[in-house]
Amino acid sequence: MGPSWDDLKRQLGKVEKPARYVGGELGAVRKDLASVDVAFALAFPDVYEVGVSHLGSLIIYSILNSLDFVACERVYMPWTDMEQLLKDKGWPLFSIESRVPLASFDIVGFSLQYELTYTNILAMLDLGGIPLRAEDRGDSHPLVIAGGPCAMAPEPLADFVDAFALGDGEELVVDIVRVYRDWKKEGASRRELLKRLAGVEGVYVPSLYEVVRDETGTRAVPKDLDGFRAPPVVRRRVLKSLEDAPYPDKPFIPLIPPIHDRAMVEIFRGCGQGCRFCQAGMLYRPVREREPETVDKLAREVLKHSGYDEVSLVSLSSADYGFIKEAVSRLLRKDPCGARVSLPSLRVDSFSVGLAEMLGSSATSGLTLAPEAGSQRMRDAINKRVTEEEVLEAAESAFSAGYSHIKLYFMIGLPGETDEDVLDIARLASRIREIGRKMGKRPTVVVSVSGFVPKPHTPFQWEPAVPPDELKRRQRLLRNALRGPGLEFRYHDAELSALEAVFARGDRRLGAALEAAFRKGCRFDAWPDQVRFEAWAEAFRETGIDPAGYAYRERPRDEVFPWDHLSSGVRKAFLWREREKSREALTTWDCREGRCTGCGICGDFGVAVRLAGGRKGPSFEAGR
Amino acid sequence: MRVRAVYEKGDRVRFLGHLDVGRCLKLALRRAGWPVEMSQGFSPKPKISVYAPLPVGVAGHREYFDAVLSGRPDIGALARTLASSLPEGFALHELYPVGDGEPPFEETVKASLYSVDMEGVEPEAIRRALDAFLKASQVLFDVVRPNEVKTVDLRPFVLGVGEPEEAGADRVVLDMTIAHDKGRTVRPQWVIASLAEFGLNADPREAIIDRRKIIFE
Repeated sequence: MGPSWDDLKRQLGKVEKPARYVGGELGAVRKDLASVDVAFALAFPDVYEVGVSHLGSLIIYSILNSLDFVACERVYMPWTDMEQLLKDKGWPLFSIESRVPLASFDIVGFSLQYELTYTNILAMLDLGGIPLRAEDRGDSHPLVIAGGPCAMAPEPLADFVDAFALGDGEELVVDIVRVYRDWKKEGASRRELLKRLAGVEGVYVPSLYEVVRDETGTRAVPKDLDGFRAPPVVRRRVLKSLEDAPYPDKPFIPLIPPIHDRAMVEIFRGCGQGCRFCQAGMLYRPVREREPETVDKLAREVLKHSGYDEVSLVSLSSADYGFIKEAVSRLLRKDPCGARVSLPSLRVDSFSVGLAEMLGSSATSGLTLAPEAGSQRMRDAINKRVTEEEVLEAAESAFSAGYSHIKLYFMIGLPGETDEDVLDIARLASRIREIGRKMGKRPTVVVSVSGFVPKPHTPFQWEPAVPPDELKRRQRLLRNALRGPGLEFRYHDAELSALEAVFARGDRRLGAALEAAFRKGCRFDAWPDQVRFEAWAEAFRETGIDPAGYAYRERPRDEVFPWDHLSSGVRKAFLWREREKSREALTTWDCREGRCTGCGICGDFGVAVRLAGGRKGPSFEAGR
Repeated sequence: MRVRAVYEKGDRVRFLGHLDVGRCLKLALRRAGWPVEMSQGFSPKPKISVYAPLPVGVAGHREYFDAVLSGRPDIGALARTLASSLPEGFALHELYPVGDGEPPFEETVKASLYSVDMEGVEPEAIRRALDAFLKASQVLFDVVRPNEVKTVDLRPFVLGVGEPEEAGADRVVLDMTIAHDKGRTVRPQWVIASLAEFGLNADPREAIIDRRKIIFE
């Protein structure tokens, strides 16, 4: 059992931020676990404040708890001090709501948002009393599943996870718990459960596939199990429309501030921009917009329920929403308390003067723009279709709307990048500072630079990452060019990007290295003050893994990838075409403009771009 | 109109810090639809004052906050809406208007009465250590903060301690009255930690501490 409240509270004074572990949030759901058919633990492999801000988890939590035969509770990765406390007291990792061990749930479902949370997943299984390896789990153990973007290239986790859920979770998670409930009632074998799950569209059961490695690459081939074979290609689930999808308009409200401490409404899913480095832009196609009336209704509902005075209209590129100005102005206008509105992920091209002014009147923080690359040639190569004039105009609008602090996101280490391209980042930042000064401001321009990591299912999946030493040289180049008042330079740890690059395109062999790193105590690898690179280096060495081969190797065109049996809906041929265009710095349009780009999803998956207000999306062109 | 609320930071929310409590109250007041006035300036904030901060881990049975409201809303209705908007663990005990002529809250606070609940200590051992503590002319204690270490004399702040009572096997509960001096005070945990130099072996982090009430001038 987990600790009693009296035992727990006597110990929590020993850890940082103990409120992470006690729950009691307004709107949290606590059902009697013994009276439901399926007890589901929604597990987030990062700290509480990060996990409670994750919209996808809020959606799944609310859907599962709306089913009368399911109880869904939450569990987050305990910080290192709490992990130690659990071990010292001999307590298992327990759920927030009912304080019961992870191992007592029927299903444990992990959210896979980022590769550098993988050691936390192993730690959570271990602390929860669940055998790490799927093959070591028996009928008395929970089914361990995982969903989220990393589930689309999950081979490094294949040894530890029973089933991966690919794509939009709204319907898929319901299918999974139904299959589980029926199986549990029949009392059939665990193998039978896995086979049945493999029959659900969007579920990938890695133990039903054999990994074949040859000169063409690494492929996962369905095993022949007495005549049963899992599908050779598993397709991601895609919601046809967001408009009818359930939305958590009464989310639980944490008692300590989450990293995003405001109401959230998802205004659309998917992105049509087609930036070639961006995995989310490929993985969540096609664009499906919510109607502005629905956005407004949901926003008011969440604001009223939560007590927040700020709402974030979230998506992959919020300024691209067809009714963005209307949505923002309605929320600013109608609410008598004056709700503030924030937009994450602003694109610089569609960012208009009007929008800047609207937000400026309610904004508390600075403005973030993401040109991603400094030179036009590089922006064209990555298909970030924005001109320097547009960036400068956007900055000017922001200054005139009252902002004085502008943050710019860039990547370095992009395919084909030269030193000139890197230096153009500094030139662009200086020009923005000049504009601010001419307008009588004392501007601060923050240049935030991350290292490019090639991701599966993107046009850059064939490209090598740039090794840390070279990345650091380019960072120094940029830092030297960015000196001066009003210019700030921030950058991500180059070694972290390298580790991410290994696991992003990893295969099943990496499971051994992952487990070794976990055994050596690696946790919170995404946290620069926690990651232990020496331990990772040892783990790779001991398990015979050459990390460079995963991160820095350019793949030939016809290589079979360890994720090729998982289909996002975007065809590999399209991705290759985009990669070739990138080499020539040729851009590709956004299909919302009316012309199909031929990525393949609409025809192959029977879905369509859905624009709000009855606007016509592109007509799918077969045979492109 | 300024109103004062007497509320409870209960057992379930004892691990919230002072800022967390303020955030929870602010959200609850918005849910309750209270017409809280906003401050002027670039980033307006609701006019709410949460008094006499409690540290993380300490519950409070009768805590206080003020809110400045526009108009003269009905107190009974305000109390009902707030009571139903508070998260589990909080409760509203009293609500009443406060006149403009009242002295600042913090100046009126004389002391806090705490109950301290400890496990694994003998009543006799704690009695002896407390006696020695009370006989000392000063008890210096190092408060370790992230960027500094501050030494405070705990002795003058401890106005009195009650008789340690056994509360079940291996468990002792005692009262402790700690002074406030122009907003300055000390934590009961520090007092327990300082008892080490008087021969008590107890982990102050394992003590469960509740502020039973705030004592006014």
